[in-house]
Amino acid sequence: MAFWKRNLALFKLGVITSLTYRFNFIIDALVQPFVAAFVEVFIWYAIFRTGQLQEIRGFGLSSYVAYTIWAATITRITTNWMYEEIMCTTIESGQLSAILLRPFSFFENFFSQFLGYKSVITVTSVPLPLLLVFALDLPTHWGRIPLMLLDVILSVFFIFLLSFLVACLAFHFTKTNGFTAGKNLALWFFAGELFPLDILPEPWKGILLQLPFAHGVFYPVGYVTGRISTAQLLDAMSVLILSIFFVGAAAYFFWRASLRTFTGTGA
Amino acid sequence: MRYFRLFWIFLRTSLIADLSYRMNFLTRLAVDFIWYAVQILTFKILFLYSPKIGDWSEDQTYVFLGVLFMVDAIFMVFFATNVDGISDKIRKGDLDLLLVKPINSQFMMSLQRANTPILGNLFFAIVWTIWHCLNIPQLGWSQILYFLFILPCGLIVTYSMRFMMASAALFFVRAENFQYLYWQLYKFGMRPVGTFPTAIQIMLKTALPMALVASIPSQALFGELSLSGSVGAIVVSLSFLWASHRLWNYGLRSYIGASV
Repeated sequence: MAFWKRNLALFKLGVITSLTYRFNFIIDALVQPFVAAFVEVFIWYAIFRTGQLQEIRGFGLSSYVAYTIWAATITRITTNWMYEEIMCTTIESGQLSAILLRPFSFFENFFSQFLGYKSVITVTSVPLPLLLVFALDLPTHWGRIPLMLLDVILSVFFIFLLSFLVACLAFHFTKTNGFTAGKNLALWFFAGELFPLDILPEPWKGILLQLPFAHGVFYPVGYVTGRISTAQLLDAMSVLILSIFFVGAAAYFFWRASLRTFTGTGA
Repeated sequence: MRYFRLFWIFLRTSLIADLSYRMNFLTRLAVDFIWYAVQILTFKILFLYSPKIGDWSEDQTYVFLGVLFMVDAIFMVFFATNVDGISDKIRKGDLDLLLVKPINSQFMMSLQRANTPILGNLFFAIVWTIWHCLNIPQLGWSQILYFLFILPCGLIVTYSMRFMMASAALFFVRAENFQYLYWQLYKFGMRPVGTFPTAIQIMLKTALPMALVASIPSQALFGELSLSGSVGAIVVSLSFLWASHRLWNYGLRSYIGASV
């Protein structure tokens, strides 16, 4: 009971923190996905126009526009820059000592706040693509949204574990912002935010679709826009769940080993 | 002359500081290479399906990317760290110390700390651009000179817009998300301007001049930029530089010291 109570308090803290600066929040939750979708949509228009194409890999322009609109929002939910940087800074600066004295773990502290933040982002951002695909009559399988959201939730969990793993590097290096940026830029590509991963040539397509990073954007968005079937998604989700266990175990052991090196005065 | 000397000192001390964290030095280099790779791979894949995107061929688009990387690298080396830190300096009151120095505060806020690892990226960007320029037919010296004349417009616009967004901290306490907003607007600059409809192209050359970052200099290199286009680019970029200076001075009037 105490576990849920304290994590609910941390969750609320994450919600409140994200809403403290409302202008920043509007840019984060609404302006960013809107502008990102707006820019990328024109690339697809240009490709279909100048290439005089009717379809790419079996999907027409409207399918790519729908993918772009959804991808811009889903990526806002599944990426983690802010809390990863906060976790790294907490360890680097030695502020971790204060958290270690509290009646909850470092992981709980940031994960619950992160979930609070992402919940607010989800509630405020998702209506935007819903409205756009409805208004523009773009291909969207409405009945698939619940399973898509489940995939997004699992992906959020996986991404946070990766962030936790990167944060552990802060025990061993004085500055880790390079690792954070490198990891997130790589995920930007591997997740399929820039284009649907199934337009890649083989063997790259096969490799990237097997990786759990594709659940950051491609699988949930591909599923809701009709690029992949329910069976394909469920199959891919099993890889994601396995990855969660694997990365979770790696993060747990790396944290324990790293904590032994912590002197309480910063890394 | 005094400013040049100061700038040289800033550069030297930054290099010494950057070399003290060698691992971080290397990761920062690597991060930008990942960013470049993502951009290049994206276009490589898109060109599998179309011989042209907008008005440009694959080689022209790669030259465009090279120009984008060059402007980005120059900005990252000299300005990025400083501009990113403005919001924090204002909020924590560190700006007070800079204001009492006998030097222009905008100069100090913009150039105090260089990001020397990115010099490696600048080298890569130059080599990449030259390499792909070799595949562009009828590329003469006059076009190259024209390009070098227009290129600073991209840097001036990038700097001015980033600086204005950062200066918002003088009015809003926390202005980090203005920087995120800039990154969203910058996405317009990361795509060839020819991919956008005419109305948006006009906007990207005037009110929101992201086309000046790489598209307009690339057009100059390909011999596609008219004289009026280049005059427009110079006027717009200088206007933005002037506006950034005015906004900074105006914001300082409302700054009461020890944070806003």
